[in-house]
Amino acid sequence: MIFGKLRNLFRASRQEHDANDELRFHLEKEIEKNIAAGLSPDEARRRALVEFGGVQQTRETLREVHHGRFFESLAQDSRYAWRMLRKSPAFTIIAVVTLALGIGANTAIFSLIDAVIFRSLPIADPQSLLVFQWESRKGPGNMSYRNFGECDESHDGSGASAHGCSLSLPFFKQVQAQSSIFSHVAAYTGAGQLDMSGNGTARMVKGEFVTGDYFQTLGVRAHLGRLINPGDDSTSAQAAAVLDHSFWQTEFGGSESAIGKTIRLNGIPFTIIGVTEPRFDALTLSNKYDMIVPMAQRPVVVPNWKPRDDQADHWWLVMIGRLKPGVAVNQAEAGVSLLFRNSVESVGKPLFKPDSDPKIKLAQASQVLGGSQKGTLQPLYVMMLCVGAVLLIACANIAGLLLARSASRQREIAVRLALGAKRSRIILQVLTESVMLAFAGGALGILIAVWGARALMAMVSAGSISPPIFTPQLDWRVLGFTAAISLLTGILFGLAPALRGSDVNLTSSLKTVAGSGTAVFEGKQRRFSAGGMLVAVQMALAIVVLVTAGLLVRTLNNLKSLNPGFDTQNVLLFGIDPRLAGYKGQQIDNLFFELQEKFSAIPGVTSATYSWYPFLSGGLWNTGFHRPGTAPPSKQEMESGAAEKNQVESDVYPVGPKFFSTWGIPLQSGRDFTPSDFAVAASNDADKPSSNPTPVIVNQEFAHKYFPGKNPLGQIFGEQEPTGIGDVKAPGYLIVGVVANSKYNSLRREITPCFYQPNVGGEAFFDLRTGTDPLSLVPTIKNIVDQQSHDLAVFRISTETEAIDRQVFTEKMTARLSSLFGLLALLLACLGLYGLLSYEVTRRTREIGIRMAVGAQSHNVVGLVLMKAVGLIAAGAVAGIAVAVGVTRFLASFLYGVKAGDPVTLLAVAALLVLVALAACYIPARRATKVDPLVALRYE
Amino acid sequence: MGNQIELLQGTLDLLILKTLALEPMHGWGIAQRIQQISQDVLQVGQGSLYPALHRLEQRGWIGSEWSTSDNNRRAKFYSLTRTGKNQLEKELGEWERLSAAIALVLEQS
Repeated sequence: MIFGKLRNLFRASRQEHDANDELRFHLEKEIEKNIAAGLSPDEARRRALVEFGGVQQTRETLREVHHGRFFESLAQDSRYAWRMLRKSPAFTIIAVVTLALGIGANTAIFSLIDAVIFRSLPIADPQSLLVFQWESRKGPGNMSYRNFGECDESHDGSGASAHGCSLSLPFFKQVQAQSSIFSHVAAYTGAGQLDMSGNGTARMVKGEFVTGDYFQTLGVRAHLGRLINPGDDSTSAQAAAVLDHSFWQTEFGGSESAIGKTIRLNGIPFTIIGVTEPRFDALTLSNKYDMIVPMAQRPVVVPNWKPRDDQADHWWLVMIGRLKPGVAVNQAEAGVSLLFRNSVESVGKPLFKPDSDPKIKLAQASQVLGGSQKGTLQPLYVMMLCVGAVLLIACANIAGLLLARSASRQREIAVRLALGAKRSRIILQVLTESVMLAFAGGALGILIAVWGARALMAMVSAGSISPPIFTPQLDWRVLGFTAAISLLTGILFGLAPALRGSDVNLTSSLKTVAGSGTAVFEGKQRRFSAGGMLVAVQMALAIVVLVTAGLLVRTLNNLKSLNPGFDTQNVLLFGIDPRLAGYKGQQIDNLFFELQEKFSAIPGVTSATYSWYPFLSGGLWNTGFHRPGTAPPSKQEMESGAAEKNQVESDVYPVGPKFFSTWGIPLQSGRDFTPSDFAVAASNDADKPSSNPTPVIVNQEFAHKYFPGKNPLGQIFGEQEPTGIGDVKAPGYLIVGVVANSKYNSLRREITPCFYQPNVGGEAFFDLRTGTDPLSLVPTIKNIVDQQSHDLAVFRISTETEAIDRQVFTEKMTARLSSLFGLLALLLACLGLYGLLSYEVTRRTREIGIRMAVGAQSHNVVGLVLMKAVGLIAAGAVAGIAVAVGVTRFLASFLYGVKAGDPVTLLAVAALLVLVALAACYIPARRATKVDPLVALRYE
Repeated sequence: MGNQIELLQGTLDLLILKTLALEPMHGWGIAQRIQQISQDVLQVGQGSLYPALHRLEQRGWIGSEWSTSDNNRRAKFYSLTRTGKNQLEKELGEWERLSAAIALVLEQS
């Protein structure tokens, strides 16, 4: 029946029409009857009308029958509310704009969170795609592990267990051979930067290797041409490449002639066979690949590929699959785990510590393939907190304004109550008004949200190398959120005034103070008035936001002013990969030496060097070996796992000549690398290492930890470690120097033991210390490189300062945004305080006049006004600090160098609030002192 | 005008349903019929008639249709639905029980 009533609302006018017709017919029949009974037409009409009675009443009743009382009164309330809001346009506009900002900001942040969490994979049937995850109590060691950020990894087993997605090629092949469990199974891995030529100027593209069944497993279709199939995934097949749709649009102009074209990847010719469908952008947010090629081409394309890369102790691919119908997940997991353990054991050296219980879990791809989802979400949650607090403050503010307004409408409400209106009706009417305001604010807020979300995404993309590719959208969840939050907001800030406004002592309100025109609200005097409480709440919330902002700003400062152990100013960074131009082995090292000398000779360059990865760019390489001073593990010890107790780790950093002098890292003892050191390192990098230990330089932490109290120079470590190539043992490392500690892959990571070895045989990033602006030397650099060989390309050009800025980008963004919101919150809270005090002074003008007339001084009057204010500020500050301490605990993982309950920040924020609030009191206080007793008393 | 006996709403509903059990009618016709059969004792004014008719229609016990009346004017004709017929049976039964019970009590004196 409710739906009938709802439906009737829409048919209202037609029903009114029909009802009128019906009643008119009845009246006419009555008149006819009277005429037939012998009356004159006029008399007949008169008599009929008298008998008819109140038509209007009937119409009302009929309306009620159809619409029910609730909607009738709702419509009435809405019309009334609309009229009231139109009467005071200034208030309405201010309120709507404030609400629009608050609701809009919340909606913007929510739409970003929604886009990240609810992003569904752009493939067919995303729910049933599974990802293979290895899981064990402690992470694997003794092997080569690479991951490309496809899923969250945890290797140290802190917490529940260690897990990750990278697995080995032999393991994949075994699973693939098993046809009873999976209907489809495929693997993929990142190919890094590929040098693409044959389509205009050579450029670097982001490549991906996939196995033959990849696209079928995902259920992705081709937009043009065809996609890779199992037939392409063999070395005897023609080398095929598939283009990503948006890459095809930008690089090949979206032209159909791209199909069949031959391009060269790292010098190897590939034929383009197709383009993926437009909606397939990436599986993981941060890994969008331009060029997709078959896995079988990997040994050919990847420079410096060695056969041992495809063994069971090199884990570098991600496996996905779909189960055969009827196969349960835990069944499949058991079967696959067995294969996994076999694969691990086949290596011949233990990859897992005993008791690790390694197994495979088949997880839902949509949940696991998030990449750095946690990293993206956390700052958004912090923003949500700040924006939510600002909205609450806005609500409290408007509630205060409404309270003041309702005080002036007391008389009208008192009259209505006296005439028999129910209190609930009045409350409902006030709430209707506030909800209308809120929805108006919400509607405007959606526009603000759209603009805000886009602006935020633009800011984020500007500062990130591989920006997340989610696009916030106005889907039903976001709109639903906006509607819900508007409704809640309206009820929230309308409730206090509604309850207060209708709680009227009739007699005192109806008494007017003669001559004043309006009734003075003399309702119940409370110690802490509702208006005061609202202001105190606003102050408390403002403190919470400001404390958050303060902590984030301090974190940012701590990170930026951190001494990483080397000089970060004026350093130019760029990468060169000679392997892509066909250089091999010793040629590469010779090239690097030559280039280093040529770069050093450029006027304006103080010093030049190179390294495997630029400082502070997040790259990391570490390795394990037996603790120096203990014996190398025997084969039995390796297999039984007893060798674990002596296993230790260190970071490894391959560097070129003059590295430490260029970066300003002091050499504390020993010497820097010489050319002969590089030769030794090169000979150990070949398939069969020599018997000379590689010369290395260790940092202080390494010396302190592994050679305490001894002189580390001349010591050898890591010798006789098995290499996994038959019985060949590693020659180990010889310490030739010790340098001071420094941070080298990320600012936040603690100093760990690290040894530097000569960089041989691969790509390198050059680091040039310049006297002037580093970027001005780029053309000269490019010239020199081009003269060396036309096929060489320079990539990833930036300065060290930029690299560090990128590291702290998230911190900078959150610090800036939260400061903005904090100041906004403070402003709103103080406006609320100002409004309240102004109103108080106006209200008590008469009282102040009397006091002054009987001899009160200015300072007494000011004290009167301020007493209340100070009480509110104090209450708000104390409450705010208490809440801030509790809430900021959730920030702890975000902070650096400052604790969540940091007293200095708390005190500073409280002091700021008190100062600004007192400033807000100034004008009302002054106004109070300017009250002329005579004028005030005349209003008596 | 005479003494107007106050009709309870439920009773009026019963009368309307019974009237419509014979044939479909418009509102005025229903009022006339009730008046005639009750020998002018029960005179139903439009203020009670039409709200009752519209409520009955909402409950689904009667249906309505716009048609032309005997003098070619547009009028809304009501008719009994099947559920209305069942409801009529039920209420008639209740009415008989109720009036029998009241009569028993009144005989005692």
